[in-house]
Amino acid sequence: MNGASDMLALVVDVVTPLTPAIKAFVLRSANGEPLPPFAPGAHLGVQVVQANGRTGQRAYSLARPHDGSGRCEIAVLCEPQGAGGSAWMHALQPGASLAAHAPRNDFALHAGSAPPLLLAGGIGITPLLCMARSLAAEDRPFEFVYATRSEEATAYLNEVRALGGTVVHDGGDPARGLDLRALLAAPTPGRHLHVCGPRGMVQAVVETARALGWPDDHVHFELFAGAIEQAGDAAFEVHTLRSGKTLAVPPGQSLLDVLIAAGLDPLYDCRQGDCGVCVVDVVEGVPDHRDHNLSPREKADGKTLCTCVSRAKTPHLVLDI
Amino acid sequence: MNFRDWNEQQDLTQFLHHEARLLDEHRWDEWQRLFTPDGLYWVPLVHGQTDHLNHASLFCEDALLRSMRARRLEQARAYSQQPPTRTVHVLGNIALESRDDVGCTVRSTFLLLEWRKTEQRTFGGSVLHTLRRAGDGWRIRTKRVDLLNCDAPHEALQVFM
Amino acid sequence: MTIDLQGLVQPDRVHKRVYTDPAIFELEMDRVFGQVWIYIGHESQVPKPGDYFTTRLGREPVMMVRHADGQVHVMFNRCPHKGAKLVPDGSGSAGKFLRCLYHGWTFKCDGSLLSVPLRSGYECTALDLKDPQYGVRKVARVATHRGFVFASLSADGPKLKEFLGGVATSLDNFCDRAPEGEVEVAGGVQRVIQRNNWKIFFENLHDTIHAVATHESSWRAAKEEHEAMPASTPKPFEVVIVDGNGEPLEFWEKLELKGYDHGHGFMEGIFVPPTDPVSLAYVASLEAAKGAKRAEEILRVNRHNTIVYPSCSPHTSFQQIRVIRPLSVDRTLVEIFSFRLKGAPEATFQRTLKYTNIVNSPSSNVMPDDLEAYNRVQEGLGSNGGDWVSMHRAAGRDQPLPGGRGSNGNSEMPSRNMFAAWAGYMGVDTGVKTNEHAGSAK
Repeated sequence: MNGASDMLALVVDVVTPLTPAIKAFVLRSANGEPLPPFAPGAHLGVQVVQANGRTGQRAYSLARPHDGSGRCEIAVLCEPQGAGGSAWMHALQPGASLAAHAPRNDFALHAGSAPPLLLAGGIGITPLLCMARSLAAEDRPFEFVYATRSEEATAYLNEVRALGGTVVHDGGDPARGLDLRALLAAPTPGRHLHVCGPRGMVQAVVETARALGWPDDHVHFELFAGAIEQAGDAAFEVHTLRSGKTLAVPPGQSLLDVLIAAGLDPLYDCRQGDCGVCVVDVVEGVPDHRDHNLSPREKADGKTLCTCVSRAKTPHLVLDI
Repeated sequence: MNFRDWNEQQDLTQFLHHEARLLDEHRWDEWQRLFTPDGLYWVPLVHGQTDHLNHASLFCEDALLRSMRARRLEQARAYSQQPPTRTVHVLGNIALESRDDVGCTVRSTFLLLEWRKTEQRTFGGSVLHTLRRAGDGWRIRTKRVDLLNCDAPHEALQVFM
Repeated sequence: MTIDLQGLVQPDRVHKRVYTDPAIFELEMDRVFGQVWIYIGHESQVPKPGDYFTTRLGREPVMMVRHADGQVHVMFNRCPHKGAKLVPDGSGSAGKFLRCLYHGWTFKCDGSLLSVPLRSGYECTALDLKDPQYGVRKVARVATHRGFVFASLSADGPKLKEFLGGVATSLDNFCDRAPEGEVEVAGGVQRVIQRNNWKIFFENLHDTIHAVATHESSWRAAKEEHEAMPASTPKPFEVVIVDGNGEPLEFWEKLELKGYDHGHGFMEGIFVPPTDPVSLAYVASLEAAKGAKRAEEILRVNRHNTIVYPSCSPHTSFQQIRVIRPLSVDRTLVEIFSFRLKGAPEATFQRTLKYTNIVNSPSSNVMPDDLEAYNRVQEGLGSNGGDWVSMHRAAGRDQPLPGGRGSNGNSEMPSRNMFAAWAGYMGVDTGVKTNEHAGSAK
């Protein structure tokens, strides 16, 4: 639960359509005070009103680096199939009031000792644009690749090109888009990868990078799940190697319970992340560790996971069970 | 279920006390005559045992085996009865379990002290007597003795408990 | 602490100290029970994965556990963390893994470490969780013969098959007598405490001439019982198994005694085809499964006590195994397991249980006088009324056989045979010049 103390009172300053489905919003602090500082990759947790009348929260990455002023910029993709949060956003007019949590960064930029690689997919452009703008302002080199469906659907197209980014259109078919194996070949120590976009794209990039030898601590990603609430757990999919099952793990259910329900007869004991009996080997995907059993090094290695409490950072996990 | 009246309670209590006294005084023949011809003396080997045919027991003795035991105990060359075992039974908690046309079942608890050679042993547990009416008295159809420590390792158990 | 063992075992007599000296008992735990193959139990005692059965191997608390892959393991009942016993004494099921009560360390049923809490606490310490010493320690060797599980605390020594030698035929006959060729432990365990050294009991197992003397009260009572029955009454089973002890000495002489290297042996009787209904039904079931010829071959092997030295005594005719666990120099636990012959009629098993109730239970009508004898021996040996225990009878008349020796039923060959093995394990020179009584010298 977040306390009211970190809530910002904001006002919509300017609304600019970028594409038929994407609008950029410049927000300013209601009392004119400067906004709290943040680093590239940060997002605002904005309170929205859903179609069912309930308030929800949506995470929108800040597209421009912090400049010490009371203004910031976000971009919102309208999701007609969603719960109505983005539709509510799109209906906002300049002057409308908004509440948001102070900026929070789960996707920090690692500039590294070699030019970082920034990879964006669709609306995932926003945090990476912020990173690119920040690096450019410091005259630091970087590689920037942006994959979208089509030119008409591409937000910030000109800005990205002006920053030296490559834009690739796949018409909705990932096979016609990025050549990941070529793009991610030859990892170098000190060269960090940052990727943001839809779940499938992020999953593919993270796995390809790992397969090509990128160390886990050089791969950074953030998911844009579309209309799914960012607060709370996300569903993910599990594939079991030895028993050949593909299972869905919804937000309200533990991975362990899903394995049990599927008849896989997993080992477990405490069901609270202490004992370590339920630990399984992870072959693909990135665990979201929530246990108190594995050591920090084991958690960083990401090759094991406690099924009773832990979840996944990637949409997809492959377990050796 | 409880005793119908003080008389019934006394009747059954006296019967149990008499049986115990016969054992303590080694009056084996009289004790054997307390049983029906098909009577069984059973001391289960495990707690809660239900089967005496398909599971081993500490004692599972029909008339023949009770008789063989009694005969052995009285033999001059029963070396393991030199000196003979001495016992005292203390009974308690005598309660009526059930009653029907032909008899009744009585539950009781007991403490048994046994002395032989160098050591006084203590046993205890509960007993279920299934009794049949015989004239004014009773006969034992089954005496089931559930020892607290039935499944412990024991030295020789020679006399009827 | 050094003890001079030399001279304690001679070819035809042993010094009383081997039965009464606690220091020699401790040496036995190291040199005999710490070296040879010891009977643990039968596989059927742990039928499902996760099942366990605890017992002693010498001084050691051990457990026999069935792993998820079906394999049976024998391990020390001891957590590698702080030393707690992992399972309580007795038998039960650990479920899918063993879990220590104290801090929740868990182990797969083959003993390998499954999990510990707070793994971060062990990083950069000398405790490497991948080191096998943090799994449950297994005993050095485990081997099985027809489902009978043996274990050894020593990694060295003959394989089980070589150790058993000719006595394996008793274990084979034990199982061959089942129409399905397999047996299973069933019907409970009798447990008897003896106030005497364990070797006294072993010597009694093939002591054919004690029965008529020690068991006089039993066989006389049985005879009197039969005499009190109406004249034509056939002798009941209960009487038969007791009054046989009263057979005169010439009867016992006709039996054959076989002794094998490593101290084993058996007593073989004359096969008399049975006539009672229970036996006939059993024989019919065996013939139906194996054919008349093979059934007769199997039944013709008609043994009384078999000795698998120094841990158990199978009885092939009544499907029982007595397991001997020495507790101290003058205290011994004997556990008697009954077995069901798979495929035989239920009445056969019920008769086995009748036998165990009458003969092997603490309430046995026969055994108390044995226990009295053993105890009087133990007490008498503690005196200064003599130094030696005689094994002279028929000494020098043993017939050499492949892997062992034979004698008639009244010879003390079995005692001499067991002590030859004992001396070999203990490192005692018996002064025997030939290999006639070779035990298994280390």
